Parts: sequence; C-alpha cells; structure tokens
Amino acid sequence: MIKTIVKSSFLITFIGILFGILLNLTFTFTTPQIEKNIKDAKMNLLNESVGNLKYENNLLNDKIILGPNELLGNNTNTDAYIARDINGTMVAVVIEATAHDGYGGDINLITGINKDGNILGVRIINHSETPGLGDYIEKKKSNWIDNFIGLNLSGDSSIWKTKKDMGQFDFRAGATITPRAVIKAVKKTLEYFKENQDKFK
Amino acid sequence: MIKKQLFDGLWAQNPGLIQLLGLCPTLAVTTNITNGVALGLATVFVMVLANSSIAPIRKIVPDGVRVPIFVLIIAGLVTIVDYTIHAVSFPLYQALGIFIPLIVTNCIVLARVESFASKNSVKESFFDALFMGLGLTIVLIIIGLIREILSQGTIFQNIEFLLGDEFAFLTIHIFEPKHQFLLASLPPGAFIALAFLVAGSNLINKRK
Repeated sequence: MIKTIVKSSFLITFIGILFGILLNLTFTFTTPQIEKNIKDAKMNLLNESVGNLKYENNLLNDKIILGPNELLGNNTNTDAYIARDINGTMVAVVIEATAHDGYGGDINLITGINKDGNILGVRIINHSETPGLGDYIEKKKSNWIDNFIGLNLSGDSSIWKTKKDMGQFDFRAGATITPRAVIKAVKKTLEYFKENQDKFK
Repeated sequence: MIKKQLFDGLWAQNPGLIQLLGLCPTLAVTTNITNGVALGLATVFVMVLANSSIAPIRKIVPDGVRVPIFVLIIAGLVTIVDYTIHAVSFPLYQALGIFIPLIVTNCIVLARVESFASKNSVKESFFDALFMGLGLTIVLIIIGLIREILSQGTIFQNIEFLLGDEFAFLTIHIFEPKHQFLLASLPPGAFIALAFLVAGSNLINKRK
C-alpha cells in the first residue's frame, strides 16, 4: 500500500518536472517569434489605420497614454500613437477606443485621424460579434470599414448613422447594432481628438 | 489490425458520429471548412502525441493515479502545440483563438488514452489516435461545409490562413451572402447539422 503511494507520487512528480522542462524550453524558443508576430500584427493595423499617409517616425514607439475617458469608452489607460513628418511635426494620430454597445460585447477599434481632424482609416482590433453576420466590420471580411475614410465632424451630423437610421452608412439586414456601435465609437473618438488636440503634439 | 482500426476510426467507432466525443470545440469552431480542418488536424496531432507517449509508460503507471498523469501529459502537449502554432502561423492562431487550449478539455483525447493507449502497444496506439483523429476531422469538415454553404454561401472561406495567401483563389462563392441563413452560423445550427449526420450514419448502419 505504502509502496504504491510512494511510487505514484514519485511518478507524478517526475512527469510534472519533465513537462515543466519541456514547456519551459518551448516557451523560451517560441516567445521571441510570438512577440514579433504580435508586434508585426499591431504595426500592420496601425499602418492600415493611417491609410497611405507618409510618416517618418516609428509609430509603435511614439505613443502617449490616455487616461479613462467617457468619449473613448476606456476603463483603463489606453495608448495613442503619433505619426510625424521628417521635421517631427505631428501629421496624424491613431487613437484606440472601445464601444460597449456591440451585440456580442465590447468592440475595440483604432481610428487614424490626420492633424485637420479627418479620418484616415478605422480598424477593428477585436470584437465578439456574430461570425458571418456582424463581423463585416472587419476589413478582411468586407470593405464596410472604409466608409469612414475622409469623414470629419464639420459636416452634417446625420452622416453618422446607418441608412436604416437615415444616415449614409450601409448596414447588413439583421446586423444593425454592430455598425451603430462602431459608428458611435468612431464619432466619439473624433470628438475626443477635437477637445484634446493639445495632447497630441 | 490496422485495417480494422482504420474502419473503426473513420466509420464504425467514429468519434464525431458514433462515440459523440469531443463535441464542445467541434460544434463551436466549425463555422467554415478552414476552421474545421485546422482544429481537426491540431486535435489529431495532440492525440497522436498523447497516445504514443502514454502507451510506452502504460505498464509503470499505477492504476490509482493514471488519470491525473494522463491529464498532466495531455495538458503539457497541448500547451506546446499552442505555443508552436502561435509562433509559426499567427493568422491561424488568431482564427482558432481559444480553441487550441480547449483541446485539453476535448474528451476524445482522454477517452482514447484511457480506453486504448493504456492497454495497447505503442504502434497500435499511434494508429488508433491517427484514425480516430482523422474520423473526427472528417466530421468537422462536413459540418463546416454544411454551415459555411448555408450561412456564407462559400466553400473554403479563409483557406489562406491555413495555406498562405497564394491559395486564396480556392475560396468558391456559390451565392451572394445576402441570402445567408443565420441559424447555420450559430451554435444551434451546428447541433442540427450534427444531428442530420448522426441520423444519416444510423440509417446506413441499420440497412446493413
């Protein structure tokens, strides 16, 4: 009896240690590549959100931290990235925001805004909208998100609505909550930028 | 023996249709063929590793603690696969997301280890995992196919995540997605599709 218990505990401990070592090795070998992948993906997303605007600095390193704000929908600090021309002057910013009124929960998105307050591009970072229905807000699923390009706050405010709500945005039948949430979040991001322009220098 | 194992895995004891094991990830990810293939192959890989590493130690593992030991080994293997996919194919990792870690809880892995690898030789356990896994993968692909056609009107959507951008042309658009059938892309649609497959296989088995 005692012998079985001792044997069992030794075996479990041994296998635990063996897999601990294996996992550690895998972790060590894959982490640099995983971090690079995450960074590349983020860089791609940032680049897409500023469209074909030319900038000279490294966007990922030129960031400022924005505190929680109702317009951005963030409960914790979020990052904003600043694109600069060769003289170091700000030409565009990329601001992260969260829409809390998505159909499947929060939608995180980034909005690229040039120094005049025009939208350069919007990208969804993550969302839990219905696959095949609400996910057309993703660029890889459809071009819907490009509708934002060039918009600003100066025009008629009714443009910030779906066609169902007498606005200009297309929507897909059965999925109107998702685009409404995205449109609202983007508009509020623009408002934030307008109110806090002195932060982005 | 191998021939019988092949027949069992793909048909007579098919994990998806007959044993009805491993349904949680099965039903959750199969919104298209690509996800089905990817999760299926990842599961096959883990099953083969688990069966082949447990069969050699089956005689030294005491009966009373065999399940904790099996779970420990499976969890370790899955985590290694998870890291590796994350590093090697980032788009695929994004597509499969949470479902790779979920292979740990996929009872088909533990079921084959417990009911087969703990009693049979390494070679037989290897083939058991391979064929059972492939049997499950085929079911995943068929459910993925049904759901994808009904909900998106496409076949092989997002296949480029798996094979690279040069294979994006494989995606076939059958009809415009405005005629999509929402139920098919939601979890209940997966249950209904599976029910039709199980009914179909029962019908064929009964006629014999």
